[in-house]
Amino acid sequence: MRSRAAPPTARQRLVAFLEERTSFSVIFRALFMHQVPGFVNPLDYLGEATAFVFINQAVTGILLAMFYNASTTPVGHATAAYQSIQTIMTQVPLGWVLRGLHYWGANAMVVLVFAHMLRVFYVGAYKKPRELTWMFGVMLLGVVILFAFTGYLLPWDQQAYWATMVGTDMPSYVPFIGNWLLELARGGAWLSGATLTRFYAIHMLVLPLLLVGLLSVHLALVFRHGQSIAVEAEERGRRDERYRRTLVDFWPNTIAQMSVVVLVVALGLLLLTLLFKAPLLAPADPLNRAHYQPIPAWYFYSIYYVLDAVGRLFPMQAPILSPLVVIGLPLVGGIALLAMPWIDRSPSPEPAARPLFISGALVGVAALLVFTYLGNGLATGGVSNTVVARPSFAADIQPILSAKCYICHSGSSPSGGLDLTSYASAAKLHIWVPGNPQQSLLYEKITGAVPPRMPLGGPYLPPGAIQTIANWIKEGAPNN
Amino acid sequence: MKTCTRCGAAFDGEGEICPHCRRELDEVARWTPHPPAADALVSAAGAAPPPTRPAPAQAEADRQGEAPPVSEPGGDDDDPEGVSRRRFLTNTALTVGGVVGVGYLALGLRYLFPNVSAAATPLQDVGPVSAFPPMSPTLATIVQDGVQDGVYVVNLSNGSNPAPGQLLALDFHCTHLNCPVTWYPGVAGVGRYICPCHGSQFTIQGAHVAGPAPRPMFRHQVVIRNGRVLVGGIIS
Repeated sequence: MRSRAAPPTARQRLVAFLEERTSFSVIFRALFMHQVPGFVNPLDYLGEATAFVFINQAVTGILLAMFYNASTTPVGHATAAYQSIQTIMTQVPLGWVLRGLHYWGANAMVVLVFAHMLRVFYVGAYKKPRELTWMFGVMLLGVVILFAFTGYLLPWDQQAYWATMVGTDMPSYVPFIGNWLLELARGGAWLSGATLTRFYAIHMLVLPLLLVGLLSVHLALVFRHGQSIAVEAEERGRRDERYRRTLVDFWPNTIAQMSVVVLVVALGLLLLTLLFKAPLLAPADPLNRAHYQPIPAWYFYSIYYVLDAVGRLFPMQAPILSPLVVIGLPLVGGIALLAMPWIDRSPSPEPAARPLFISGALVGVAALLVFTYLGNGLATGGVSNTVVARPSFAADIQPILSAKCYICHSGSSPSGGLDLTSYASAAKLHIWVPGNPQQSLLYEKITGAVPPRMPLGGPYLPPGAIQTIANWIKEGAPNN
Repeated sequence: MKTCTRCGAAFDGEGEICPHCRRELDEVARWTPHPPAADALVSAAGAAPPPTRPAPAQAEADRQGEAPPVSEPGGDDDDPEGVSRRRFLTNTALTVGGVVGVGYLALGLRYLFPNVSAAATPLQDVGPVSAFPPMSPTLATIVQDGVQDGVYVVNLSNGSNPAPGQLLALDFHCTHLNCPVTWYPGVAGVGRYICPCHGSQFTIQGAHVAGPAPRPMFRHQVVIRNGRVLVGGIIS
């Protein structure tokens, strides 16, 4: 008796139906049916992790938009925009989780996209024929920064308002069209409801479209050339039979590994969300009655620090150097990144064969990290809040004076004739009464007992630092 | 005088074909994906009758199926007439795309470009002249684009009756990066506006004296009407 083939299952019929009409197996095979090494460096998944965070941003962003109200109409002591964020954080079920995921996702995106770029740089994967893949990646980095910048304003709190005020003023230093760019960005002379609406539209419509477009080309090129690691594996496999047998199929092996990456990133975002609530500061006050000191988002700390350092080191040249920092530095950096495949012309992608570029990048990244760290110090006051019981002038007091007072009270004509640069120069001024902080002008100034409170304009010393200075005066203000 | 072997026109000069035909053949070579050598084209053109516009006799031969088929107009790269038509169509598409694109861009930019002239901000009452004591900058509030803006009103006269020019309205945004400055009386003996961000300092009249700010403070329009101070948009 002849055995009859079993009739096709419903699933097989569906696959056949789709295959006949779409030929999707061609695409599937092209994308997923190649071989890769059994072990893949986790760093090669950074791009994929970034893509997942983008999906996280899209999903949570759409959900946030269901409650967010991009309006500066006054509601109570704040604006409608601020109040809607407040509502999301306190009243909408799981609203604080969604905003947390979006907030931490935004931060993670900046970190991941940068780390992905460094990894690609390290392995030289931007070399021929992947120059355009790299360039589209650099453009995506730009889009991510614009996403972060436009999203930052939306809560309309003090930090958002003033950081954006400063950030949107930077284009005004572009020669000839600077003011025009500034007004275009703000939709007016200063920040207003027009700015908020504009930023919201850019954040919600323009940038997502731009990102999806650029990402499509970026990914299409990745698939067109194959991941550099897979191409190398294939070539080596052709020569080395034993190596070839260690290769595994992309589908489902790599896909499973990628799903682990997704899980790790998702859990990381969730953990951050649960541990550190997305912040919402006081509502924006355009008159800044509380003397809030504007600080940028952490990923701009490096440029914030350089700008500050230029002002301190070259006070006379600052008006000329300042535009070079805010316009020249990002412009040169961006062009250098875009042109990297043509700047680094060494034929081999091996890191060891490119000592100049690898060490150059190391110096650049180290500078970025150090400046970001120093900028963080600047943004948070730059002074330790730890109380020192028996302070030493050299170890505890002078660093505070140096960080917070020297900018005015030093040099050839110190403010008020008060030179605080050394113990000797400061002791001559009678600004402290050894043993009695309350009678000491220094203490009265940093507490505000005698106005104006110092440091002038703020931010003022943290309470711990004030107590440290008080303890030092109580100890007799020794030069120890 | 010679006769062009391609079009039959009379011409002076070197070669078998007239300058007009040479230009046309060069164009074919330029637009053909794998251009045959220009000389080959010339010799082909010289050797055979032109493949375009079949003469009546040629057309007759075509009908009898004895000659190679002639391509559709514009359909073949080897057809010089067709290529120029091709080029015309390409240029048309590009031009239409460009004009429409530029149109939308211009429309969008003009639409997004705000009106920030001083006239766009109406004069606003910030209080009686007596509210601004001499040589003591006082922060007043005006509304611009629906958002409050801080303006230091400065009375440079000795009393409460400042002449025009003795009353200033200085915007409180630093001219470096627009952080909000604060007036500190007594600093440097005479008082200074100081920016909390990068330490720029300005005199009571708004002149830049220290820090990275590139220019003096912005001045608003200010007038006195019936003993009241009115502040408008930025004039310098």
